[in-house]
Amino acid sequence: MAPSGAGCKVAFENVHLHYFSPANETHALSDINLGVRAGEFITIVGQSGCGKSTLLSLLCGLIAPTQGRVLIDGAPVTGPSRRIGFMLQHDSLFEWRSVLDNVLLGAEIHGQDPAQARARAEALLERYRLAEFKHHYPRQLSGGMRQRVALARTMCLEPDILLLDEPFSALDFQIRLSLADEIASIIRSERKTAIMVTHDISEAISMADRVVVLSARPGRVKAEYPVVFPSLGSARPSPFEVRETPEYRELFRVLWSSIGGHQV
Amino acid sequence: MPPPPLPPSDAPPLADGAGLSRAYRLWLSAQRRDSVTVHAAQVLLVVMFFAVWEVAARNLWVNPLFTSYPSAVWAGFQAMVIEGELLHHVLVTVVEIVVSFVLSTLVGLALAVLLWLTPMLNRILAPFIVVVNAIPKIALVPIFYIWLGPVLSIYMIAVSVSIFIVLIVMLAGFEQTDPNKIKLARTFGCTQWQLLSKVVLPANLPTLISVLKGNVGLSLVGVIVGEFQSAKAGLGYLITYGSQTFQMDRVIASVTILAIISVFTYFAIVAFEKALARYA
Repeated sequence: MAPSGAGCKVAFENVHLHYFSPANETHALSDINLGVRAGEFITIVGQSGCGKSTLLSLLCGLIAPTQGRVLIDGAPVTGPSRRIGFMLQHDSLFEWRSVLDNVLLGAEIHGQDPAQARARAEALLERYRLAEFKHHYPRQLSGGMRQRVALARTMCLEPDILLLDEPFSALDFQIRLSLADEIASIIRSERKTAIMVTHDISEAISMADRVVVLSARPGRVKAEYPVVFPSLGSARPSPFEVRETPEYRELFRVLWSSIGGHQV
Repeated sequence: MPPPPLPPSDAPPLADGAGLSRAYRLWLSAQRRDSVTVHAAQVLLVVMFFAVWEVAARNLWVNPLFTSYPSAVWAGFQAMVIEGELLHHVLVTVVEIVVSFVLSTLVGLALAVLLWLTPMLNRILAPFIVVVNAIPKIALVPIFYIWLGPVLSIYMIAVSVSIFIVLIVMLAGFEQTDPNKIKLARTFGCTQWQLLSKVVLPANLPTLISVLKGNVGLSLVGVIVGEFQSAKAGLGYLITYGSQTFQMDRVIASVTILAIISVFTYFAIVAFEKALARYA
């Protein structure tokens, strides 16, 4: 079961969130308790509108909880921190900046040493097979390449926690599978703590160590499922291999009914 | 593997003509023919316009006292050049246009930035901006003349005619900046100033270009109207003076010069736009 509170990289403690508008008040999240260990990769699934993206905004400090606490390394979140990297659904590359300058955006905003940041950016672009495109502009890139530039932009600040908000949903199916594979292996090899929100159950299973299901609004943690593969021994299969295992099929079925996928 | 990058959009289609298919060559020559037809028709229209005007006035089908005619306009233009005052009048007007244009752009842009940075001020002032913008600025010409005198009133009227398009359109552009880009910058913890300088302003450069195109025409209108009221020099003055003394050739020559100035300023902005055209 999920550890909560002490010892966690990231923790939600009795978090409630209410949205206000002149017309009404929305209870978006209710009594969220959730802990994520350092180096763990969790995915959060749930029906649309259940507040899963809101969890990431809370963690990033873009909004504050109405009640309860959001902790990183035991300290409450007060605002955006460079230890958190956020990958959004849209790559939101700036079309007036070259690939390299897009990757350097975070370093610029944080006022980091330009030469060091540039060295990191160039190394990342090299790793993500984008080195020859560093002086290109975003409109010259394909969707998959753009999203890899977005990943490089996130990684350039060397965050230890990654938040991913449906980062593949705008891509074609084939690119989506291979990019998910690639990004999952990058995140694992760098031992980042990662929290990904998705509505794609197979993506959730294939990338994560643990899947968290949120209920419909107001979002609560409805269930948590560890993703393990006894049939493959101790080795972690790649996301692509995961989809071939019997455990994947079983977990897919369980998650499907847990989310309420049959109620269309 | 990632797909290869798209070629640059302005890549020439097959540079060498040798490999072109017969159908493609036919299509290309049809395109060329169409383009020649269009240009020829345009030239013909201009020539016919001047010819009909000249002939109609010389044969007194229309009263040349009211309409003048091309050769008389040309003679009037030459007379003004010889009198040596035309260049002075043109310069006065051009300086007024350029100063008003720069002033209204800078002040309008600064106000848009201020209102974007302070949403509360924006909410407070929004209805007043709508009302002041709705006043026909031309109606204020006599008031500005009394308050500011013959010279400053020209700048004031030109700026007041053109500043609102800058303020309103730029502010609307700022407010419509892609929210995903803004959210992204916020996840990096950027300040409001960084949001402005790194996201909102660069994202609205295309908006600024189209505002400049509109603004240059409005500045010109404002300057001429201001000159009608008060000037002792400038093309607006030449036009009023010419019409009061029934020298239609001079009036039309002045209007033509104005049109030429307007075309030049427009192309100056197009050139500026091309210089910025890293993204099309």
